[in-house]
Amino acid sequence: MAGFLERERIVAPPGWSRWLTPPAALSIHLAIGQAYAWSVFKPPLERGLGISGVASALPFTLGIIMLGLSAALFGTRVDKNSPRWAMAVSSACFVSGFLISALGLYLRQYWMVVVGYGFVGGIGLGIGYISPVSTLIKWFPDRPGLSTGIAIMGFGGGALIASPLTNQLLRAFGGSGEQPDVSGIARSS
Amino acid sequence: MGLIYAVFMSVGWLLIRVPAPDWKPAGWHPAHAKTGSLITTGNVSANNAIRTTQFWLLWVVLCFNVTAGIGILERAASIWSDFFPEAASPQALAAAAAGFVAILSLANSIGRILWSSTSDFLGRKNMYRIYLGVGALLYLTVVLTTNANKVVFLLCAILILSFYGAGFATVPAYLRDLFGTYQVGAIHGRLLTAWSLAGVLGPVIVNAIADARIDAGVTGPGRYTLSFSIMVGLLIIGFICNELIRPVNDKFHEPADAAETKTEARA
Repeated sequence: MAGFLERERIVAPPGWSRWLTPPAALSIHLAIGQAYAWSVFKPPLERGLGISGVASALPFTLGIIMLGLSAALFGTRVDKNSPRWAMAVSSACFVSGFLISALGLYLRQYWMVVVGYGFVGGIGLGIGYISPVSTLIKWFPDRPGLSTGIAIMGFGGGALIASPLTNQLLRAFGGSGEQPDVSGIARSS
Repeated sequence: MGLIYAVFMSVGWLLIRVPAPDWKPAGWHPAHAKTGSLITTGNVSANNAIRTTQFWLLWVVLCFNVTAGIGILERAASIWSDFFPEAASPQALAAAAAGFVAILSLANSIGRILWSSTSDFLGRKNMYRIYLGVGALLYLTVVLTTNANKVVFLLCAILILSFYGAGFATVPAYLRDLFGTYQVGAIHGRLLTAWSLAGVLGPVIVNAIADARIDAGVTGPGRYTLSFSIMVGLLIIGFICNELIRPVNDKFHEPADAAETKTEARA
């Protein structure tokens, strides 16, 4: 399995179209761009758990801090290992972040949301942010600005997908309104 | 939601490929590549990059550019209702504010690809002159005209946010110009610590000042003039830092052979 993630396994065969790499990069960036839509979770969390606005912003703030720190700390390793490795690690961290937060909400332990979404998920943000960008730069030496623009636009566009999706899920599981069901918020995340 | 994203992101790591070491785009040759005084042919390692002044100048540029954008983005809905409170009903006002937020998100996204691709033609340094210089002028316009004209305000806000997104999107290409592709991912990663600081700084400036003004009984745009003026100042500092960026000294370059072998060994 480890071999599957290694660099040798994903060197493109001759004739591979480089235009297949932006969709790969976008699928990561559109997902982690969800971070910009964190504010959708804020009101239900505040009403459901009776916490303040500053407290409900904490997972996001920690997430952005971890984004910078993990990108700085693991950046060299991301360049050395393959982007597939980096993207798989990022996906694992980002998704576990949601699952830990959901468990924390079931148990009414808000600190688990902060640690899950902010700390673990934030590491996923950092690794997931830089890896597609540096890979695309190598594929588009003639148009570096275009290639990084595509990937990072995905991060900005992530919120445009995530906010309606989050709203729908919260409504479906009863996690919205004036008296939100905390388990409903958990199922939504 | 976590599970939906698990599926979505898997597409990414299954589909991704790296170019073979000798791969070049069809019909493109490094010798024909656009050259500019800032574009390097050498490679700088991540450890050396953070010893250069260019890295830290760019760090300040990114940090202040992001701070200025987050300042509006973070409080966009309240800013709209404070600037233009006259509406047929509270619902209409809320809808207008939500629309404003959506327009800003869109401007943020489109600016990323639009301005960043433009930078391939105009050069990275010129683009940051626009983001920071024009950005400062736009903020100044908002401070001076406040809510006199809805169209002017909207145009300024849209452009400011498109420059905010573009600042993010163009920076990896700027790094590549200055430091080469060798460890650009790691260098980019270290630069993103600027975003961490800006993510804290921007909202704190705007929220703290607005809250203080609200407590003091100030209504309308007066709640934001001071914080927007601070943003003008930050953007001007960023503009100066961008002007100071010069090509990286050759002494920081990896020896040509060493960089080459390392790339091959990794490939």
